[in-house]
Amino acid sequence: MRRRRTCEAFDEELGRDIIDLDNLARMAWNGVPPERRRTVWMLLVGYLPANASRREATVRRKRGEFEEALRLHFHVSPGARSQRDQGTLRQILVDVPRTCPGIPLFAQEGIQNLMIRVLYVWSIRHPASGYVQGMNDLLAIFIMVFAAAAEADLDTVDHATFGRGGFATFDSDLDDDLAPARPAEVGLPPSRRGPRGQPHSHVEGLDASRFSQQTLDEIAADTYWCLSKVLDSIHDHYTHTQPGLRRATTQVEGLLRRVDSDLFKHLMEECMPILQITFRWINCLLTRELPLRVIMRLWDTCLAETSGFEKFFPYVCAAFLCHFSETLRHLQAEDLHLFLQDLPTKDWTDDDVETLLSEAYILSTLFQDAPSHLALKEAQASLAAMIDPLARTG
Amino acid sequence: MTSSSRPFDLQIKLLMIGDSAVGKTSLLLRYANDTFSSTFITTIGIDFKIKTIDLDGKRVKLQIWDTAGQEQFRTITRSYFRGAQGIVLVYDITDRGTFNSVRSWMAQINDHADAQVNRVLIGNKADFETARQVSTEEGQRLADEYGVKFFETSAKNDVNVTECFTTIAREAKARIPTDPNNNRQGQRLNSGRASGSKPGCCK
Repeated sequence: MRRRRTCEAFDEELGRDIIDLDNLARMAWNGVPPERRRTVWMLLVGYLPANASRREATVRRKRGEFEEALRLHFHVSPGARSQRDQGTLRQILVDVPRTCPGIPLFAQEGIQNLMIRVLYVWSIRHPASGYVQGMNDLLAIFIMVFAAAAEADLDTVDHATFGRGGFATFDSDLDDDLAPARPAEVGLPPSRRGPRGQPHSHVEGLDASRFSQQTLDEIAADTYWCLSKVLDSIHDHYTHTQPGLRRATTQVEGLLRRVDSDLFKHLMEECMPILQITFRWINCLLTRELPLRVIMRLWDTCLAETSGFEKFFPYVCAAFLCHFSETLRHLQAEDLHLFLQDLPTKDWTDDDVETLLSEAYILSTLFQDAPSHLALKEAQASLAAMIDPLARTG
Repeated sequence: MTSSSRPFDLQIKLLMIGDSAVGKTSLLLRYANDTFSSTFITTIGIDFKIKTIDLDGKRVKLQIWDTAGQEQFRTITRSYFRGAQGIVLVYDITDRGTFNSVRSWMAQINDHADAQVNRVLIGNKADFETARQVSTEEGQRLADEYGVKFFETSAKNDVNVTECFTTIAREAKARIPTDPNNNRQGQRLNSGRASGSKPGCCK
């Protein structure tokens, strides 16, 4: 029942001529229903404008720009690529088939081709970092969400307002879209819900072969822009020596010292550098640590936070580490490594993630306004950021 | 039972390096777990496995560190070179570029690993003969040039995998008793520390 009510609350906000993005973010912080996730994420990252009258033109323009970028950078003769670009392409070509192994969607040719194009164009346009392994994992999250929405569109495509290949929920005909969808969602148990109400575990069984090339092209362009927005906010996670990732690690370490000094001491005694723990967490934004079905819930909140993956994420990581404190404190070096590289999160649900997010939120309110944290902020642009003031005072 | 509670006579730290997607993780998982999949997920940063074996009458625990191959991760993966007692350098026989990188990897070993570290050169994906780009002779020649043993392996068909790990373990084992630093290196998991992290007890 909670989810349905949430859906309606979102529809009310999404239906406004000019969406109040602060209000949308407040709602999204507590979780976005899967049926609205694509639209809400597009708005939160700033891909879709808040003003409904500008949305269609914006999306058309952005998709056109991506198409143009493909023509310029991707659809070129092999001889036209520099050695560096060839290396980038090779890396992407070997990584894409290794993305989310076990999830059929990512074994499908149409989706793999889409990923190759998106990652390649992004890399060419961001030479400071280029493509870094793990970006494919981040792209995969957007693809799952957007492909699930595109599939839902397919099932309702006969409806007049879906004629342009979906995106009804940010269409100017929003009300027409919602009208037929509602009856299917009301009063039916989840397993019998209509296509608009797919339970979100469904995304793991998505079939992209039903998508037209146009739909795939649209997903490519939309995921490209959304991924770009996220990566823009954390670009120095991926530039040479990954300073942003190290800065976030230093912050996690400082938090850990303060809130769980026993665990911190134990990890130091066992020669476990915090960076070794957080490296993959931050590089892949926890996509490797949590099941995909709950990652989306985590991302709802991170996208709702301003620069969430930069500023809020270290609190999430610290809370995540503390969550396993009891177990970790009883493990010795090797077993620590083995435990940390295969955390028991397989059965995690949205509830577990919400508990984690609450804990992260508490940490952020406790420590965000501390003077040391402000000092950290000031230092972010410089090398001095590598020295964590929290750690010095801890 | 936890891994660290198993009895052993000797502990050896091995490191897997080589370009991305040459099959480092596949070799390790074939060796440590006897499993194979054509779509192993990419390694980010560093992973770790334990395998305890009987080697010439001794119980030897192998701590095997598996690194990400991508250039961008070099600063973190390099920090694990120091303290490694054996290095397994892997290329893909179906991708000449990965073979061409061997020299640069050898140079990195020179720069960042302990001077006496044992090395072995592996040409993986030997099952994929039709796509071969690097001949066995070329691989052998390069290995000879560096004075290291050479194997062509197939993680997929389990060819030469055990041999390669046993060889590097045996070479390291033969050297370790004469290595005055062994005690420190053998006991501590992270004698090569990730740079940028706070110093801990291994300082």
